[in-house]
Amino acid sequence: MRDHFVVTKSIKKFQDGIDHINHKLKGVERMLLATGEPGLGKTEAAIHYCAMNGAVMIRTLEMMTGSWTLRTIVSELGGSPYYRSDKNFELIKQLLASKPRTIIFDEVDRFTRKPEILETLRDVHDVCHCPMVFIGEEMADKKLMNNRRLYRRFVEIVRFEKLDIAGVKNFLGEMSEVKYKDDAIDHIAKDSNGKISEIITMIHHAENWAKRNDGKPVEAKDLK
Amino acid sequence: MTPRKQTIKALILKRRGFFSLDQLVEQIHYPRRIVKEILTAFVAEGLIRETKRPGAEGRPGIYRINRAEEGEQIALNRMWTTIRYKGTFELSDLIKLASVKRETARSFTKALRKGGFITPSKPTGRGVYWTLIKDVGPGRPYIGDQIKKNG
Repeated sequence: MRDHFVVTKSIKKFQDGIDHINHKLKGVERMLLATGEPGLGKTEAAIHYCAMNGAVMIRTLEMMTGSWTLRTIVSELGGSPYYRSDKNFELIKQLLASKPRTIIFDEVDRFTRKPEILETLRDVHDVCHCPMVFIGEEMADKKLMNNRRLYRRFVEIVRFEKLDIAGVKNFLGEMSEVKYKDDAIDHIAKDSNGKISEIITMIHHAENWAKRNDGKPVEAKDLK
Repeated sequence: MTPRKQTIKALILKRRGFFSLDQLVEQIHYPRRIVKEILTAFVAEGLIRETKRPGAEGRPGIYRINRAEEGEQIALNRMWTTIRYKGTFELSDLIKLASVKRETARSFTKALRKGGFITPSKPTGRGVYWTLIKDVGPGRPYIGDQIKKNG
């Protein structure tokens, strides 16, 4: 299998969405929400974006409180957090003013039961005018809808979709080093349910089979 | 571009890290005034940037090549970001997510291991995955001399 980051349709939409919120206009909201089932590559897309563009990602934790979140943001922006939240808020302002960056929050649906954290993040967004990306599970948009003031700040909602047959074919072409017959592609699309993590497992099976069979093109029956 | 400017440009592009006007003059034996003029032109063109000590205005500062564009990350920073956000990773994660060559990823993980920042799941062999054990924050740790020291 090739070590290659495949830009699927959903990842392209995600990257375009971040480009949209990275505009420089004042007074325009700069929040993006990305949702989707587990295994569709949301976190990988976020890590890839952070690595390539110097953005900051914060993995939210169940136990997090408002002050803990502020301290984490300060640390991720390269500052030394204070004990007091007011000082941390000021520091975030300074750090983002000196070097503007996109902040990505992963698994943000954990915050849906903690309105004080969501309000704090909204304050950081409004005061610092920094682009923010929220990543959550498929129902995250419904859960965040309860917080109207935050929800109306989402410029765009990107839904990570399962790969269709064309997407699976493209993914196999870019990732796998063996050839697949059409029935094998249909089989992989159906069995993996379009989930990238499942497709990768099936590529490993197919490549092992091809190695044992002198690199013959893989058929559906070989994968069963 | 004049031959002198071309020579200085070639010399600068070979350098790593900061350099001063005196270092260049010593190396190339051109008149100091001419080297200073050429460096000023390179600063204006955006090839290099000049940093001056506070209170030393009017005197030449130190120079550095503008390698990375704003927002663009160098390979080592990309790998460090990926390692921090993944926590546990394989070499292929670095190659994919940080868009680096296998040799670069291997050399970086080797240096981080020697520096005590990451630990492998097993001593050798295929399918090794690495775990970050010492997270020093978003700034990549300096591991420049780890390889030289430890071979």
